[in-house]
Amino acid sequence: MGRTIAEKVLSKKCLERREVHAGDYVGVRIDGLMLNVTTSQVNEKAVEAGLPGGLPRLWDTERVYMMTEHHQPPQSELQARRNKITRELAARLGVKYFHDAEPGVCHQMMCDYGYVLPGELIVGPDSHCTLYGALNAAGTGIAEPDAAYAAVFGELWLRVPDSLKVSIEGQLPGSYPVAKDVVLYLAGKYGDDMAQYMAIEYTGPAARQMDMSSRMCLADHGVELGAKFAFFEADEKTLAYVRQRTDNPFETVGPDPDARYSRELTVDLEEVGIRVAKPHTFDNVVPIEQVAGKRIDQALIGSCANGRLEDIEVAARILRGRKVAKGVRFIVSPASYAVYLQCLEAGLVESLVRSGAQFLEPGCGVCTARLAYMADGEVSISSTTRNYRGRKGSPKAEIYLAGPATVAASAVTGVITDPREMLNAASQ
Amino acid sequence: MLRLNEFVLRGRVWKFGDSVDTNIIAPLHVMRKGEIAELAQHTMAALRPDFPEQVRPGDIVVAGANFGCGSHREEANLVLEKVGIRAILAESVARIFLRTSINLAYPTLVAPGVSSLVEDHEELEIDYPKGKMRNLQTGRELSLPKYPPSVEQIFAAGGILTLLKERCVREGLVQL
Repeated sequence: MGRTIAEKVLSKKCLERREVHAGDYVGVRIDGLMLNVTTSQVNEKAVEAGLPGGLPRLWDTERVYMMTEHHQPPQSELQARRNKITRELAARLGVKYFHDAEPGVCHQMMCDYGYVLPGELIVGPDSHCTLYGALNAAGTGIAEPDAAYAAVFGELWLRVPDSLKVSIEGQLPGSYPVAKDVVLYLAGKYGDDMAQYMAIEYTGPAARQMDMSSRMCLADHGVELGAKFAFFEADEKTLAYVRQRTDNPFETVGPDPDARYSRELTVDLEEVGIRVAKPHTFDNVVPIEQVAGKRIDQALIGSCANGRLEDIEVAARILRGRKVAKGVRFIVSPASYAVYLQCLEAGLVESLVRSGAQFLEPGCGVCTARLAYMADGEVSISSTTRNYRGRKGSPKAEIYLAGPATVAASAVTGVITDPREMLNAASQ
Repeated sequence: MLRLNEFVLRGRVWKFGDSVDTNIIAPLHVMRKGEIAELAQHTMAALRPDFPEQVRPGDIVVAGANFGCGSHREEANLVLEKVGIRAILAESVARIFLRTSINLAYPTLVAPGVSSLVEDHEELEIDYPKGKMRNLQTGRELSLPKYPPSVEQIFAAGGILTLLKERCVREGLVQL
């Protein structure tokens, strides 16, 4: 019987060295553990377990990637204290790859630094570890208690997931990144638990046309569809991306032609158009036409979902020769310093700032109630990951989610706006 | 420690809808001080302002699909335990929330049909060994799926932290 990507990866990682199938509960060896802003809490779990001082060791000092990202510089005394503990832990445990005093979103940094390799199983205490699937890796979020176990022994229990195949057909629009519209379309049509406990495999001609940024957006958002993993197959773009960053060996994993999926879906890009998620759930999705004209107070571009060069580039293109609408806060936060540098080198930062954008440090604050809070009754349109009630402060604030082009066009007009007209004008 | 093979519970139900996310359960803006006790005063309040005040030890949360979706947040599991919720039953539970419950040995059960079995503040009986749940007001029953044995063992051990400590001792990584 043919096997899916998830079945193949987990068969390789299975401690019992056997072929595993969807539904099996197995012990697995992980290839990497990402420890981020919550590192000190992972250590506290080990203390709570009854281990004096916390984690007694790391199973592999070169496979635990530690960083004090998320909220840098610290935005509270508590965070400063936790970062200090993380610093001390990194020294005590002999962590080889430790990034301190570097703002960013952990998942983007993991990719930027070449820590994510095709075919690997990488976990971490953050739900958006699914992003690693863009690089053909099995990435998934865990919580601090099993992160503590994984840190010491490099092992975890996992249920081998069923798989859902999503084939993306049609031509990419070319003038704007469409990945966000695709995932919102899926959530709207099939629900935000459409892939609960499952592995998604994104495939099809348009998936292959997508560059790594768009693939990262879709894989990242796997968790918003409930997924455990969200894979792309490795191709020449994947290999080029990885090879620019590391010489470490890896083996890509593709599905067998007769792999068994619990569901197979096709997305036609022509049908996707421009989509917006209304408050307060990810699957409350409508075509842009149904919300166009809604007044906004804030427009955000950033996060592990849509804070990469292509997202900020399209915003700069839309804002060129235009200004942010009066009364609108247009906030741009690159997903990492590597992305920030790309934006600087391309002149996007200057161009956006001259148009009235505010730049924020790379990090997760843009996506949560850490930065850019919202008051009662305020409305935001955002390319970030989530629109849950209270996500940006007041439970009476409203968060709409959309792709970066829609966010930028809305920043210009002050109301939710279909970006296609401005994009056409910009290309002429 | 939680022996699921002895897990029988009666309790009053707090009923919620679909997609209750972890920020509803553990709002980030009150996590600042890192205190679960403070979170307990705000948990679920965005949906049910009366919940933090009125919840009683022994109550049960019943929810629709995708309970606990959103950010990974162990505090979400911890705060419900802290306010005395003895069990969570939902049509489906978001992956990380469910995984964390298992690793904390906190009874969180995927129970398809539970939303139509009970209404808010009715009494529910959960009989895990018999694989049944029963509405004590209406007498209606539904079957309750079981975890696989490997997961029941994590519950029986008292969660993954106990397993971590035992293995550290066994492998000589710590002397206690």
